[in-house]
Amino acid sequence: MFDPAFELKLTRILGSLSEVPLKHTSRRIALKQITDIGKEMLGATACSLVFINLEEKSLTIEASSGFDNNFEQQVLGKPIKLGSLEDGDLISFELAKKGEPIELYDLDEDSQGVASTKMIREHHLRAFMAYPMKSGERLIGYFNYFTSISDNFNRETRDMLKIFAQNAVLTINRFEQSLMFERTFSIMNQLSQNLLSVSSTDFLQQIVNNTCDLLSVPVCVLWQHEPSAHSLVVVATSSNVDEDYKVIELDLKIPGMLRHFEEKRVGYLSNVTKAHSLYKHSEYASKRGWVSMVSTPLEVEGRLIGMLDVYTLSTRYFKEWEKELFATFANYAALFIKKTNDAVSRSRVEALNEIMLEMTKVNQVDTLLKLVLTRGLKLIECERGWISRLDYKSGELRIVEEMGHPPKRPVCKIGEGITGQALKLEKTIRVNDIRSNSWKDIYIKCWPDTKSEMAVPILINNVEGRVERQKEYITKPIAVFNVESSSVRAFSLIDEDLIKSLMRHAAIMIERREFDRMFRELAKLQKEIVGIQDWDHIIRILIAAIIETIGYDYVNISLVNPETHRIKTEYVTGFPEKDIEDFKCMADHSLDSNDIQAHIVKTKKIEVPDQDDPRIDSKILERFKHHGLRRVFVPMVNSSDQRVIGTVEAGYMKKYPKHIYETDIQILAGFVDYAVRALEHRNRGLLDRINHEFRSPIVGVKSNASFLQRRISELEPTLINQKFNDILADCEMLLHQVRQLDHILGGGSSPTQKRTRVKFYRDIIIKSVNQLKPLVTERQLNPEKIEYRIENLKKMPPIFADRVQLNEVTFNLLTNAIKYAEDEPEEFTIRIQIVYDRVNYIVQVKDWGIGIDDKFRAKIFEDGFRTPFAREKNISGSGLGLTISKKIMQQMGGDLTLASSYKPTEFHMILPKKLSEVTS
Amino acid sequence: MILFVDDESREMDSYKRELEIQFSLTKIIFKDDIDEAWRFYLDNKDELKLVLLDIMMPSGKLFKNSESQDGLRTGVKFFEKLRAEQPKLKIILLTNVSDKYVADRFNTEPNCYFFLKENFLPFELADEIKQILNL
Repeated sequence: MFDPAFELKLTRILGSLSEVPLKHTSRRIALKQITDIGKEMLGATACSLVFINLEEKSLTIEASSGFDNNFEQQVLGKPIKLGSLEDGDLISFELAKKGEPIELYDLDEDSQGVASTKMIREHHLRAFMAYPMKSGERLIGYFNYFTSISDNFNRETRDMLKIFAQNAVLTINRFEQSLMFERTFSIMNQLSQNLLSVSSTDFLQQIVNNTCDLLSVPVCVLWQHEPSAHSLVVVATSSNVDEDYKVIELDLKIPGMLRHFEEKRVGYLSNVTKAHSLYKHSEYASKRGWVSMVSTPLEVEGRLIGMLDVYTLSTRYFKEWEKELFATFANYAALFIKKTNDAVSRSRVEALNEIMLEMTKVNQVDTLLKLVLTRGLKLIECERGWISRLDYKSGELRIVEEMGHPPKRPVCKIGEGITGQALKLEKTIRVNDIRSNSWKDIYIKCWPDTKSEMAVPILINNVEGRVERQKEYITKPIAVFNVESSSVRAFSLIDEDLIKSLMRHAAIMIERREFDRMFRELAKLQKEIVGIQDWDHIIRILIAAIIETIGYDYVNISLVNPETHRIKTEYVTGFPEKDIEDFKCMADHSLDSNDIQAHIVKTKKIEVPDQDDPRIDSKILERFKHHGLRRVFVPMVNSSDQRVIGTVEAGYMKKYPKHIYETDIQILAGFVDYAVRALEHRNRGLLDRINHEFRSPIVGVKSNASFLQRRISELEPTLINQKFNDILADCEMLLHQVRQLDHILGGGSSPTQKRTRVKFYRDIIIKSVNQLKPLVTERQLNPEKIEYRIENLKKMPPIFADRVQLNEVTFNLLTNAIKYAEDEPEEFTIRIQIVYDRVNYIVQVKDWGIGIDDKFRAKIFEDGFRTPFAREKNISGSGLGLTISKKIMQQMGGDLTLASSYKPTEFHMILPKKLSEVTS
Repeated sequence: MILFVDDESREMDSYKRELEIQFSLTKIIFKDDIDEAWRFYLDNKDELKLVLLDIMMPSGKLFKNSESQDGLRTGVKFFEKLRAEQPKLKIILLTNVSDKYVADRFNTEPNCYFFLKENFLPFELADEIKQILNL
């Protein structure tokens, strides 16, 4: 049932979740905060966050709320084998492998044997639901929800838990990143301070120890490059590495090793035993029981100086940003390794750390880029430079900030000039003398006296993206830092290293800020959706979110028509207005066809199709020039019945970015889910209410008819009359519901065709009062208190209107006045008065009931709106009465308005005299 | 004594009257307000043989702060309160709510019967009650 209170509650929960990373500094406290929010706001008896390691077949309960200290001490943070049915084990391996929600609504009768009886008994828990937490397709763990009563979970609880679990993943991701950032900066700071106070050997040892601390890994090995022997030797290790390992010499001529170095990227193996052919040293590692590995080459002044490896003792998935931050940290540390004896360089490395710290305080991306430019130039003691950001839609590099009063420069596209080339080739370009170098032909001159220049790209490496249908790690271009000088050979290798290190950090910060921005903006839009009843309006917000917040520039929302068994584009944006109707006509396919959308409806899977995917309609591709379009298809799945109601297709029309990024897909899919759930609730809520509204009078008619049939001879005439009146009232209610159903289905009779002379409006009122009498007496109110008055009755000209429709509006207004009357019978009065002026007749309907809260004034005429009071008091109604009434009055050329909201509550039915007379 | 709790007193009037005719020796008490129903229950629980309970009702003061989901679960909450007091009390849930999950749950509860109003005419309900109470 649609309920704005439910959605408000949901947005409050999401709001609380989004605050978690800002308030807490330890993972344990942050996770506990999540379970506390879950317990408090979802109304659970207990909650827990369970992390699953499917490779190790283990789970770890990392936080819980509502369990006693004893239990928490026994199980929290300790890995438990999945499926071992030990105490505290709730999820078996088989269930976890499926990664689907697990529900048990009576744990006492747990036939599947997944629940641990001791824990359940001790905490008097009876019902349990575990909702999977997934990052992309990968299962991270479960959010567990327990209640003390046997409960079968309804749709709202399921929806709430699903969204809670999805957002818990994002929250955990955000605070984990935030924590690791803080730790990285504090370690970097500490390293720079310790540089002079500790010996060189101790310093290397500190790098190793800090790496273990930073990534929470047990094993770390620091290798040094021996150029003469073309090999690597161990220079420092964590304490648990044996002496035999420390004397290993790694031959760099082995192809796997060589490639690792040449690619200059972070390497990751989930299990070293399975990758002997890739990394030679994985053999040594697997003998020691080490399992997952992350390894990064260390590069200083363009040369490889070593390698930093970490290992885990059980399988672990390293997130992309973990690997990227690890590489940044390692290369930052490498600067120290090389420069420990150079006081000038050391002070510059320290200055670099200060800039990085300063960057953490800036939230806006362009401000961050400006800071990077000004501080970066200062760091290498230069005055001329600029920073430009890639505009993804045009492929142009937009200048964000310039220093040193440059003359006007032409707009540069990716690939143009050394700026554009640096971004295209994903590498730093340092030009010592612009007059004689390989770049001189493409060089774009700006300052007339420039002699040397350096362009450093700001890129994010190892971003998960979809290249055609494959998932790959790709590079995401963001911006370029340029620095120029009027002297030749102005920039040294250490300058290059420092700026590269700064840009690498800037890239991670920018990616994080962008993610935060999207997160915040989408949370705002989710809040906005809460107050909206209208389907189209929700779709418009969904489209705006995809274009403006997530940054796609083409959206096509197609809906399934189950009757015709087709899927058809209903909303599309991202190309010229004149083409839209043509597109809609062409984008209409049978669900049995080979069309990609029909396919998505069947598989319910997100897809990024290849450019030449045969399932993409070639006629549409040609007609609308969609060849260069990179796009993702997301199914719109109802949460209650898993039915696919349509698909969302989103894409880029231009060249950049080249790929669809996985994070964007996840964010897009999450928002589509939220919007679909909102749409579903609005439809279902209305139908649920109409359904209930039908059942109640049918039961009334049926039971009264049966009772009269069997007992009529025993009953008093007054009771028989009362029963007939009840039957008639229920029939009237039913017809009233049918008319509302007409409205939902978009039909209904047109009032203009039936306009007749309504001689005495009084007749209509009397009819309505009679129809509603049983309702009045049921509430123990006095029907005589419904008063009726006309100003200058004798002079009043006749009203011409549709009698049936006028009756409908009157019936609606009177029904409301009765339903919302005060509980005290003495206070009950309804007063109807007709006034008229030269232009209009105005039927004023006043009552002295509970009134309408001013904050709902604007909403009462919206489809399906019901005040919280009506919902709380279970006052029947579909929330359509006033909408329909207003529509009827407007169709008659008039209007229905709320003139006063409290004591009296006063509605005005306005009917223009002129129109009424003209039509007559 | 039979307690009949339903906020739709007009629609349920024929049921109430039929029960009064058929169970002339048993008092039928009809309450359309959940708070009054609870007070009545506490005062008379030893004499009660059966409670007839609607599910969708206003939450009243009794469940004002609990999650009755706008009345949709008021009857469920009331049921749980009764169960906590008297596990063996016979309870008929008589409702218009045709939610499969609600039906599944109450069909497995002991001493509990789940009826959809639309499936029972007043005299049929009376017959069912006779069977349940072994009369």
